[in-house]
Amino acid sequence: MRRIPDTLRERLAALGDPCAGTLGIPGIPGIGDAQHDLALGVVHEWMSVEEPPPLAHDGWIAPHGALVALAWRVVLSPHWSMVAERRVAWVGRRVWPSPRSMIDEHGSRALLAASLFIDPAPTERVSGEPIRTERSNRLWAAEQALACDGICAVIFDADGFDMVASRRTQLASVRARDRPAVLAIAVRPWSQRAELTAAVSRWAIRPVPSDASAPSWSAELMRGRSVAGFAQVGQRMLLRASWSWCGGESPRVRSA
Amino acid sequence: MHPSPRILAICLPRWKTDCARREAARRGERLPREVPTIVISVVRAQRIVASCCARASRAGVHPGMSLAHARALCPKPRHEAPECPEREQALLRACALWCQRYAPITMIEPSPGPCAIIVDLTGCERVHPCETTLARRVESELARLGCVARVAIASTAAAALALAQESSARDLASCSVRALRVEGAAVAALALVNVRTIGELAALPRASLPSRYGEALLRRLGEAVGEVAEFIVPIRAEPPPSAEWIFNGPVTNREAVERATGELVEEVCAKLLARGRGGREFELLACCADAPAQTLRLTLGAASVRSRHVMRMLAPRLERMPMGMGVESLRVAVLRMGRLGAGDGIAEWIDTLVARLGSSGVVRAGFVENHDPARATAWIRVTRGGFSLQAAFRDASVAAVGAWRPSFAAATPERIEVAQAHAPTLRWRRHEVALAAWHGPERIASPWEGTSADYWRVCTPEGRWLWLRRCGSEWTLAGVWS
Repeated sequence: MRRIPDTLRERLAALGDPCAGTLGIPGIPGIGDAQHDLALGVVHEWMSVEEPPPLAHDGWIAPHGALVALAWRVVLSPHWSMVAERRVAWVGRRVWPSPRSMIDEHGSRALLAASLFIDPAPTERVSGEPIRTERSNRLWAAEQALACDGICAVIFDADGFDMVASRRTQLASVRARDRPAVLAIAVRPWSQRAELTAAVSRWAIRPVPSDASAPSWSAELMRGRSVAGFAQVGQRMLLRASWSWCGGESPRVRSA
Repeated sequence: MHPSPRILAICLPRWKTDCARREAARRGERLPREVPTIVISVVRAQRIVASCCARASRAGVHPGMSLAHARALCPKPRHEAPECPEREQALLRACALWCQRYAPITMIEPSPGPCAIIVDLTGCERVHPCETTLARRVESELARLGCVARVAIASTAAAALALAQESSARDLASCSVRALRVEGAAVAALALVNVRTIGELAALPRASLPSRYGEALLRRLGEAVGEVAEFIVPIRAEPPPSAEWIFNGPVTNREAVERATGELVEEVCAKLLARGRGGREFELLACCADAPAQTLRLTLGAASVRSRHVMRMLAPRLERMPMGMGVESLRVAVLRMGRLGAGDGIAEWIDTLVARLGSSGVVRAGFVENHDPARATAWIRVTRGGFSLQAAFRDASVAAVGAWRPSFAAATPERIEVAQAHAPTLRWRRHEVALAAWHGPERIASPWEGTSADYWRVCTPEGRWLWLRRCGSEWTLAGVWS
């Protein structure tokens, strides 16, 4: 009988029940309340709701503001205290926020210093190398980032990822127990909201009016599998992201 | 005609305490400058002070004093560290190698006394036209490294050393005899006959000196005044490791070449590990039959000793290497070494990405001086300048830090219409959008180019914030808080 390596066994066991409790990771403290944390080590899908008039001429625009607020949480969270230098990988040009929006009102550039931007469709090509499509490069780069222990959060463009590709990212996001867990966010266009993938949750991000003269977004759970925090399939939860440009607050994400 | 010799001597009187502080900093301990440092040695089961910093000296501590006495004189907080001659010698050698930036010939002074480094400046006059400026520069640069240094330049090494040791002396004649680095017994015997300075010593008849005070005194005096030749034995940096494989005739089998390269890389990495360093740049030289020698250069993002990683980076290029009629020999050399990093895998991850996506595939964000917000962002390749990400953000170009900018900047500004009939309304892609809130204008102007534009932050009833630009009578959508 062939023996399955322990690491593979662990990964398969984790995949069977992709809930935070199984992984022993409680999610990111502070993103939601005690029951509604975003679980680590699994892939969450975020998509920006498109309402007329559409923002982009062609294609779609990622929910950059909400993603920046989430990335700030990763940089400030005490969860990754064991990691010497926190890194956030932004895979795919579509998910790159404008760098100026990543500086907080106090001038802190901690998120900028922690961010590495990956362009899967570079202009430079190694001569003689077989040409790979942007999508395959993007999938490969996302997998590499998810598997790298030094990266705390991976935000990647998952446009056009089918079930096989999403399974691959889900598999790569499961790390060994003694390694720091990763927050994996797959950003997809609104037009693919009905497609089935291996991600454990799917969130719709839409702007909401706020009294604080500041941009706000709500993150609404569209579908979720048995992840700690939303145990019942189909349960809906509202997650609101907001920041203040004129107040003295740092960007934050809070549950409503 | 030979140029007259010019020797720079660097005296490091507090080298032991400097090393102790450096070691503490390497361990991550935070030592403020005002904390006194004492280096302890054990002599006959008794702990005594081997060296102390200037602050402890001012408190009354001096080398040779018992530790209990020193503790009584120098209250807490203080930093105590055991003596480590091997580490101090290794650091002194590293410091001497570092000093080769001033002149190519440097030496660690072997004579007894405080640690010192000799730099032969002869022939470097064009590089360092002013000796006073050079001496100040060396002192300040060593001080930046955390070393207390006193520097002097003279025609002979012994004279420069004497002047560096005695900073208060104006010339060689006024230096004390101790500065010649002779044994203490000879200095004491000379003090008995009231000979305390080198000037007084030089006035004595030379013939009587060896029999009374030893050969060394006469030799050191002769070296100081330039009558006796002195030898500078330069130290050389150990060359980076390399390994070579010579085949028994040309080999055309690519797998065999790859296997041999793998073994060479392993050998080189083992040598690097033994030195405690990592390889930053590798070179593979393959001598081929009936073909020019092939050279593959590999630059890693951070120093590494993992042969598997180096081979993973090298293998795709090895596959495409022209081999001619066969490879006769292989040589793997490290071109540049570096300090080993934390090993969290980031450097290897970036190397892997760069190998497939190219150097522009992994970037970080930076800013450039430009009044136009659309052109104020720069994407900097991570491979340029290593991973000192913090350094990239020291630029002061983002003066208006508090001014928020949209998270999505439109690549091509889109024209819109703004009407203010009853309430501010936006006409955008055939949609009438009423505005719920607006802030502005924020004028961004370039006095040099004579252009200016007003920017407005406006909010739709749905909560969508837009960034509008008005230039003259034309309105465009500059960005969105997406």
